[in-house]
Amino acid sequence: MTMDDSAARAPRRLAHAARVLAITRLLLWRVRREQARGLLLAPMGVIAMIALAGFASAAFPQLLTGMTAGALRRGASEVLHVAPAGGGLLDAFVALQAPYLLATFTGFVAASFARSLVFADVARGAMEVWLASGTEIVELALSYLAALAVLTLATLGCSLVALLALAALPGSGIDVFALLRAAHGGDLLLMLLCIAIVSVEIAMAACLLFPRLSGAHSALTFSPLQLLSALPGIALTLLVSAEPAATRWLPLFTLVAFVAGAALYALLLKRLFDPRLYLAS
Amino acid sequence: MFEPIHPDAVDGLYDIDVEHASFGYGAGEVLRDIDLRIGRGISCLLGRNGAGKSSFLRLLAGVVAPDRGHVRVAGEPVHRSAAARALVGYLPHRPALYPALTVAENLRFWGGAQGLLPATISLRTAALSRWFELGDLFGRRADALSRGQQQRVALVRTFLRDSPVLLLDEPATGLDAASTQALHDYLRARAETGAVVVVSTHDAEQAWRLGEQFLMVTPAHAIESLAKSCVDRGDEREVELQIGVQRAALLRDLAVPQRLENDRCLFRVSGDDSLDALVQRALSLGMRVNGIRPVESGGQWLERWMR
Repeated sequence: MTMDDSAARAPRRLAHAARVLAITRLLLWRVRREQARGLLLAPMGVIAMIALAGFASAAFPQLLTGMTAGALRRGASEVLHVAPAGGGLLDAFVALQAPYLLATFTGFVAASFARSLVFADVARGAMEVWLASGTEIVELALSYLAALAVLTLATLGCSLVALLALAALPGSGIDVFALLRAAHGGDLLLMLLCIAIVSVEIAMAACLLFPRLSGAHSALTFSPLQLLSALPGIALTLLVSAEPAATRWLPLFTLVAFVAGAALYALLLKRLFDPRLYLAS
Repeated sequence: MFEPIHPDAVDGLYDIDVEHASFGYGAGEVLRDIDLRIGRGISCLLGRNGAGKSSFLRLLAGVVAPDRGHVRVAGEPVHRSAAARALVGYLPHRPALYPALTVAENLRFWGGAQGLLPATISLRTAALSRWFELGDLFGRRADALSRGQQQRVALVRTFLRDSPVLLLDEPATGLDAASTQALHDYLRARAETGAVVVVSTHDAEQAWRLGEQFLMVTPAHAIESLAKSCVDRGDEREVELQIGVQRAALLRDLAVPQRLENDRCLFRVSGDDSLDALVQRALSLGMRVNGIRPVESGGQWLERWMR
């Protein structure tokens, strides 16, 4: 590639980037108009579920099943170095279980947004209008990805802040800052961000590559798309329940998964998404 | 509403060139070795259900790439050139509106997706909504509209950009007679300014009324092209006279009566001389001539062509 080539490509790339930004803004505007209430309900649902689980683990430890109870006791003594009872169990839940439950719920949230944003366009025939309007499939895929990431990360951020605020309430008996220091809060935040993006990548790829699977409703509580997107979170939750000390190296593992996913997208984006997949013959 | 450009000034500028293009979904070939040029004016795309009309329009719009060959709009390969696709207004078979958004929000969204400024969207929407009578629908959610109303909104969305190339897949779906007429008037007005308009339909009568050029997807996955001016529907005509049964016998030596209903009788004649002789005799006998028409309507001819 000569200097002239790269000089000619620069404005084109800039135009592509500007277009991706413009489409992302449009998609976010659309979601805000379409599901204003849903945007609030998603983080509230996540917070309620996790807060309930935390309250149950502290107030009624006898209700915890074998694996969870064992994980909390081992986590309290081996990772946080506190007594594995009462407040210690609550600390273990907040530091070692809640982040992974949040990661799992984030996967469900990413799938729900992907379904209403990406799959709805495929199912409604809007992809044809997008592609005919002069939008490249790559621009569209990147815009979907960006919009999904913004929505999912915003939901994650709101849930996280609300959960920390709940934990910091005077009556909870948790010293949030001390706990975050003991549990390497920065690493956990990195893990949450990476796993949220990985879930977004999985949800979007599933919607564009397997539209039929993504549209399938399940007779069970969750649809195949939701289960697929939440899979990384579920795997991490199971892993950390089986081995609480794994929480030390899991953030690094999720970072690697995020980088690998991003690299895969960058390499395959042009070849991965074929408009024919979205059109009825 | 339209720019006062003389159509000759843009003659050939926005032509669609299809060069030995083939296309299919997976193993099945839908279109095979299509080679034609579509110029300004209204072309009607005909064919049976599932013949490949929608696929052909998608190829022309650049939504999909041909497996072999090329499709060019204004000289540019349309599936690779965003600039060429920006010249195209494409209406897919489904309205593709967002059900939870209002009509105004849908138009604002899709106008933005086409790169239009909000002021331009407002101006164009106002002009088009008068044409397609959207006035009282703007505040309503798309899922509260009838199929015909949704189609009118989808048409306005397609025409927002004032594209010189219009590709419309069954645009009259769900429309009532008045809206269909408004659509036809709009398309004729656009064609007069030099736009290239391709309309797919399976309604041969409608195609005959609207089109100047006919394209037909054949069962062999090819496309045949024919200008309306080249259609020869023969010189056989039907003459309807206001007469009774007994008086019809007075004309039997000139033409054979075909049908007799109440006091009306249909005669079929072939050639101008026979027609003149029949009409002259009927008038001289004080009979009233209700009408003279070709035996086969344009739509019937097109349907026969499609078979």
